[in-house]
Amino acid sequence: MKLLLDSSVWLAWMKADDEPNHAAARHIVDRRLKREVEMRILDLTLYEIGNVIVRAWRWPCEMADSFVARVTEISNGPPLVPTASERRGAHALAESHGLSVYDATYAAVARERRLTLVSGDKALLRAGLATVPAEL
Amino acid sequence: MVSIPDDLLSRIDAGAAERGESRSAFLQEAARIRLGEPDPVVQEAIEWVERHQIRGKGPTAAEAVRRDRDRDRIGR
Repeated sequence: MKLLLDSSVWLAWMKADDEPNHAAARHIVDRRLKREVEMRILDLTLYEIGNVIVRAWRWPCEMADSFVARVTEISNGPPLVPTASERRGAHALAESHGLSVYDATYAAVARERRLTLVSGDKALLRAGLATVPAEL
Repeated sequence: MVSIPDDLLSRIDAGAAERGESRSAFLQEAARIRLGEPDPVVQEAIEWVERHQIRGKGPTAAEAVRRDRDRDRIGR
């Protein structure tokens, strides 16, 4: 199974307290450890992870550096860059589902590349475009 | 000597290209999967995260990401 984790899942792995998706995120990483699943990452994810760690959680930038480096290392393959077709798909999904283009880009890339999008984000889940971490 | 049918080799090359890997790296990974070997890179990352986990209250990861994605939202 090939997974596309959005930044909410990666960050849930990092956040131990008050985090409903922490255990599920850790379980997914354990499955990657055992090579039961493959993980792909979107280029956008690295920016979102950095923003949350540095700006929202106000942790030192070195923490963001190290975590982003590890997320990149354990992903199978380099960060995915959306194609022109995927960008068009993202715009259409954003319009039809009332999503941000950030959200819709995850969904469009997952759809085009036949990846299972995993997210803790209510907007993506409500739109039926992602799977909750606990289902993996 | 390893013998691989041509059609399987084509699919191996396509899978390797999709992952940005060489044919050799792809086949080594496939062998490790069959042998059930844990991935040492992932093990190191797990150990690092366990040492540096973010503690304390505050927005959940999903809430923090939502705020970040909506930060530039403008009404109309």
